[in-house]
Amino acid sequence: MPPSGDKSRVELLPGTLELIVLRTLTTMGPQHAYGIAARVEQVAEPPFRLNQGTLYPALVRLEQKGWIKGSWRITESNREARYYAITRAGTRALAGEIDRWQRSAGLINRLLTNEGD
Amino acid sequence: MPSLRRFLRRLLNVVLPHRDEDALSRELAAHLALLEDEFRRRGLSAAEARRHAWLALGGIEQAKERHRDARSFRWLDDLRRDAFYAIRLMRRSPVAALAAILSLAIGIGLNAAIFTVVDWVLLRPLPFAAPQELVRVFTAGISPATAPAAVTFSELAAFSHTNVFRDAAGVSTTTRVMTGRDLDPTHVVIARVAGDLFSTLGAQPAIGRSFSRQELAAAAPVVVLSHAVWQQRFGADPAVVGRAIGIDGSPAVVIGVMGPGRGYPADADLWRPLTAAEREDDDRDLVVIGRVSDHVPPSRASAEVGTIARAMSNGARTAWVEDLQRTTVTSVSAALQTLLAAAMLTLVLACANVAALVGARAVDRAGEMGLRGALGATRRRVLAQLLTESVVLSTAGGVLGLLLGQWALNGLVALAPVAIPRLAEISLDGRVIGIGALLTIITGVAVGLAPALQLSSETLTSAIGRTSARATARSNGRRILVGAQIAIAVVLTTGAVLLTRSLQHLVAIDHGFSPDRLLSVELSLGRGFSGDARQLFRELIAGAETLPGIEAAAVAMRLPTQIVGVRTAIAVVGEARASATATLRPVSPTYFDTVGLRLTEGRAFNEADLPNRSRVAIVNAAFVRDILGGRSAVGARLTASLFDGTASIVGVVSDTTPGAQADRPALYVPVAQLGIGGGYLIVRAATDPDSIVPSLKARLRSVAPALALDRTRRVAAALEESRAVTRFSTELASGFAGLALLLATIGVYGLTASDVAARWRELAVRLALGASRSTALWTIVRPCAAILAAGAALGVVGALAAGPSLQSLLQGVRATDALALAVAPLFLCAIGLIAAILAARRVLGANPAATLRNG
Repeated sequence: MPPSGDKSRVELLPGTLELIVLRTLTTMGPQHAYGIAARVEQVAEPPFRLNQGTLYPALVRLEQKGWIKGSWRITESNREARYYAITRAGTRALAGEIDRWQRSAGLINRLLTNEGD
Repeated sequence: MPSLRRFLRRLLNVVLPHRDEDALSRELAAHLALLEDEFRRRGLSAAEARRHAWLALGGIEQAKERHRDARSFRWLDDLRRDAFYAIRLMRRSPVAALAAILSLAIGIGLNAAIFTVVDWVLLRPLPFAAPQELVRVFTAGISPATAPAAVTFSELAAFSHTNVFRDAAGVSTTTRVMTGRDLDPTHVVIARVAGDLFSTLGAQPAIGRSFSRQELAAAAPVVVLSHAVWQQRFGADPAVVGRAIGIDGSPAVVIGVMGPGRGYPADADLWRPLTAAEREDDDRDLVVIGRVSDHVPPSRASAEVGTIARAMSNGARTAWVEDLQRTTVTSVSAALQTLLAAAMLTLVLACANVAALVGARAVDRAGEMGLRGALGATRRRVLAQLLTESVVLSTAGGVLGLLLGQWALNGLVALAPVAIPRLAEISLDGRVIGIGALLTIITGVAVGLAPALQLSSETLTSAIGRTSARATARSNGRRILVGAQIAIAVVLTTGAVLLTRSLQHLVAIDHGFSPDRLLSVELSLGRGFSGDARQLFRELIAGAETLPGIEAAAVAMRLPTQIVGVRTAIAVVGEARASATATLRPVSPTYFDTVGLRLTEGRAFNEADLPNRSRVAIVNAAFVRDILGGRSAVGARLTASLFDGTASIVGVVSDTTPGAQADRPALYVPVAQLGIGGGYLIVRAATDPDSIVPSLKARLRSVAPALALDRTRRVAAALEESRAVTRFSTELASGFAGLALLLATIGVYGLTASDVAARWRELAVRLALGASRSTALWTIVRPCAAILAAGAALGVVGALAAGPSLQSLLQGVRATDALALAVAPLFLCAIGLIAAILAARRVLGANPAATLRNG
């Protein structure tokens, strides 16, 4: 990872980005990489700025697994962009991924809460 | 499934790394454009918007790298890139790359091919179970001391009872004629067995069974066939067991067949128990083999049999054991060791070459490695790159080596003396290939990695700045290597030249008689023959002489190639001298004309020299010189221990000197006056002797149907056989010498080329300052010439030191032969100088000004 001087930029936990991308595509329909990044930054509470280049490895991994599929389209502002759509395999996988995340997040939460007592 | 799918995609992207690159660039450009749009909408200037877009994306190149890491296998991709880089490097300096690959190929393949043949012919372990336990027992007289000899039956019986041997058996061979239904009468080598030979060897018949204890004790008429006889004479009939055959007229039954190449001795055609009469004779002709018991060292076995032998002979004889494997190869062990040493030296040469060539490249690239390090390449990454390059080089060398090796092996097998056992099974020796590959590749990799190992302590400037200084230090090391190469090549080439001269000498030898177009048919009348041998010989000669295509025919007890024969004590009548010994050679009257021995005095035998006439004899030149003291022989009379009465010498013939051996005093007598139980029919053909064999055999068969005619061969073949070992050694030594020469040439060229590379700048300065081309050329060539001279001198010393080990293979030429000692060093120096001049000319052809600007 190249060092970054920008403190407000946040690195996500490994593996979470894929889940975020899948979820975003399910709720918003086909999106380009910028659109996904903008959505993530928008829903974050407190707001944070994503290193948008880090989206690309996640997109490649998902595409190679066959969970999303990319195609070129024209944006509303009349620019070309590569739009990613979730596939049926991706939708099926998302349920499992969410379940997995919630279980591990729940465990971490409980541990942190108990430690805090 | 998704992970497998992803794995395959990543692999695909290793093979096609640029497949997604364009799309990625386009996608990132679009991403930036969208970001810029957004920032401009927020009111930033175009330049500011661009800067913020860049920041938000975190850098285009970084994003691309992340994408590549995820879509492909990074390490595999690096490997692919390094391999292509290595190939590009090789194509940039094809001569150096080719030289290194060739050196590797020679070290791995050709060397293995030659070694395999040496190993196969001379070093194969005996084909028996646990061969290291097998020993052969020798006996010898203590006083007077006599040469190592075989063992008698009673000695064997005594040795068998000691507990140092788990098993012991004796065997002695003799030639007999085998007959039977549907069998042409055939000569066979019969091994007469005392004790259980097959279980001692741990080699049982492949078909049928071995001799039972009862059969051995009762000397039952049963035989075991060799695989070769079973195939050639019995058509590989699987139902051969139980078949009745005749051996010199006595009946015997086949009970088993040995596997191919099994059984002892190797030339035995069949085995049978030693008869009671043969045991009674107690001849000293048994080769005794013992299998030592567990944990019994050979020294203890030797002590034990020695004690027994002394006890049996009242201290007159002793006995000892020797490793069976060693006794079977002693006759060729000198040649074997010489050739093994040659193989080792060749391998050393190959390693030296690889080290020199790869080392030269490493020096050239120290600067490049320093630069890479300065630009942030990790040490591990640079190591990986250099390792890849070494592996690419080694793989090319290895593949070429295997091809060359297989090709050379086929050639060598075609050249080998006929008697390579299990010829069909011969294949490149995996262990030898392995050792060759391991040594050369380890050398290459170790030397190739040196710059990467230095990298940690390097800084950019020191790496680049010190290149030329280190090149000089390295080149001194390389000079020593090349000097050693020259020395080794001189030793090997001198050996090859000596052997070649020896072979020329053998080919040009005067045999004393004329072997061309001579054909011999071995005649074994055997115990079953009851007719008149003299009459049969006359009929055979008459039958052969009247055949078209035959110029002359004769009968003799021994061939003119056989100097050793029956010895008889003789005494010249009227001479006080103690009796001398001479070789008795019974021949028919036509013998001297047929084989081409010159009558120098008196007359030859004729048809009138019959049994009822006075005995006559003809002597050879050696007889006149050694026994008669050079005085006139014709008219002298002598007595001999092998016949009654006195014989008159009626003539003198020249000596027979097959293979340049000196003839012994010989006494020729007419076969009509001294009966013989067998011998040879010798015929001289008008043209190619092989073409008359069928008609000759048919004619002889009609004269004597019971005669075995299978041993019909050209007399010249026997002479060729006697020099087969020398010829084959010469071919192998020439092979090694050729390799050594090639490697040394590559080495000299490599040395000059790298020397020149290191001094490129200096030469350019000299040329620019007006030095003439010849002066500059001499500056480059001089150090090479010095190395060549030093290496050659060292090589001559080495060749002189190695001389004694080679002398046993040489005939008609001394190991210190001046011509041989001069040829190799001069030739190598010439080759070396040419290589140096060629390498130097390449530099001198370049423009000095350009060199200075770029260098």
